[in-house]
Amino acid sequence: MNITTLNGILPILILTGVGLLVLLVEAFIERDRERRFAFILSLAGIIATLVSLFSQLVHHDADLLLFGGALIVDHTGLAFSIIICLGALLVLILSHRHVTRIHRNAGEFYSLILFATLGMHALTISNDMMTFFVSLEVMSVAVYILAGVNRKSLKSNESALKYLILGAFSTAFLLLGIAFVYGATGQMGFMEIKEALLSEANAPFQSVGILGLILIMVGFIFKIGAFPFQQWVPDVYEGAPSIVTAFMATCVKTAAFAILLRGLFTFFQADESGFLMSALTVITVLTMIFGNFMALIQSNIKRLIAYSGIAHTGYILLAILAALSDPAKPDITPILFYLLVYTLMTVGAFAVLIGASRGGEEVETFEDIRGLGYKHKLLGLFMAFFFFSLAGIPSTAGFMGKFFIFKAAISKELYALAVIGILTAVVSVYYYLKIVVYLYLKEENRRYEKYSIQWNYLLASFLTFLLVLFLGIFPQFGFKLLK
Amino acid sequence: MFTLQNSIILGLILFSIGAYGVLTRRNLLVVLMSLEIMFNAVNLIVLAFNYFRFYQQGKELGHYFVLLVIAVAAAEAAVGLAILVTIYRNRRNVDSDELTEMKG
Repeated sequence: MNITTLNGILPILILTGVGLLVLLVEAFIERDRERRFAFILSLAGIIATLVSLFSQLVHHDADLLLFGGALIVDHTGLAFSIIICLGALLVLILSHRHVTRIHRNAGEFYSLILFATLGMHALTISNDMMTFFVSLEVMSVAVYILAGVNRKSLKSNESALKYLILGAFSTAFLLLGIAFVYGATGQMGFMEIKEALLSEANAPFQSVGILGLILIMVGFIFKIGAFPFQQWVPDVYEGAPSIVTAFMATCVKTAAFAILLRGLFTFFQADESGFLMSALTVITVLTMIFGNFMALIQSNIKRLIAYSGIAHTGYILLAILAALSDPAKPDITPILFYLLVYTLMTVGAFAVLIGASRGGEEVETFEDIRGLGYKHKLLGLFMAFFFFSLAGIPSTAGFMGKFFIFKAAISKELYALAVIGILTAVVSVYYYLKIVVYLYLKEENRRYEKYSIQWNYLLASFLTFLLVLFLGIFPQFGFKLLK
Repeated sequence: MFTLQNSIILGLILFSIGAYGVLTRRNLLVVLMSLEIMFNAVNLIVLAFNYFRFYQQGKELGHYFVLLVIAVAAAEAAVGLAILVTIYRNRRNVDSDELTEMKG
């Protein structure tokens, strides 16, 4: 193993090492000190990973193939990984102290977050069906446990079990797809599979291969929570502890999009019938419409964010369609920018929601946030800003993200899709503003007791607030970073 | 009798039995077992493809893949059973009809 290889897998090594160390710390240090020590250790681990990813991105000049092509360290993968690690960092900051309210052993929680991040990073740089499958499962199994981390709560139990059963069900279809693709080509590497599918010698097995690709697509669509396979999203998001929901809504989704993008760019040319593309178009339209209209009728904020997350998935799919329509020179920066902004806004919104929860009770309904803007001015301001941004009000990063996506769609002449996207985005303004209205709704004859919140919620929401504001006014910096 | 086609048909039948079990059974333990049947059906298909199409050429990728799938399926089953145990502790049954904490 030479130094280039070692540098390429450095983030994976750091995350594995720190994750195991955090788990061990729990066994050897007494409880009170362990909490803080495990927190600092995992924070240091994530920051070290971020630094090594950044240095790889800065020094990146050519795509690096590792282990005989099983991993590919390229620009896209690194950019996705940076977004994921940023999300994980914010979630970690948020979970300090909060985690002991939902789970006795903080170290377990931190190490699961680290292992899930490890799986996500490996997923974004995987270039082979085997690494892809294993890293997908490293991520998924860690997140299944995280969803059920609050063992006493029936909701959390139910959420974890639903996620596990439906996740494993979709994984089985994905595996069947991989089996068919393997049967058709005899290869596991993405590039080799593509060549084999396109070669004449393989013609009799072509249709088996395409069937396999379609089955793999079904698995992907489940993981990103797009239209026909989205039923699990609201239940799992609602039942899981808020902190885990924030992690799932941002990092897991980003990782799933990273691998979906790599798979689509590699394989969609192998599908000569164009079935994948037309199916993806239909899915995009239905996802945008379904997500936004279902979010309208929700009364639980976590469910609302889940449905609006489905809608955001639709917008990102729209950006992917726009990028795919020009395969020679695909422009994926709108996708990356949107995912970055979406991650920041969503974690920010959850930071406020978690910060606003009193005495172990999670903020769930609109009534719970009534008058929050008066109880804690700064928190209310942040929350209003994040929901403005999610709705896409100008001068926020959410607006710029949507703007670049629709611009890309229009420049690729996907007019109908862009119009549907813009109209559904208008619908979304209603339910996001409804939350803002509740924030500043007064109850009669009631004084608002001011309350203080812990530094880490303020820090996380302040950081995301600054970044969302900054990217909204100077989006070119985000573009430069991701390009 | 022992041909590529027959092995794959057997695999697909097993896969369908598993999928039917996941979708219809009420006992969550049986649902987890059905998931295992689905994974193993896929293993059978991969092994059949490997044996009939590629083994003569000296390729063994499918074998390695099956090993990975077995390992992952074991991990998933372990986590699934652990979650099942917590559910049993909290409500004293493992019936999927009773899991209705969330609606809407």
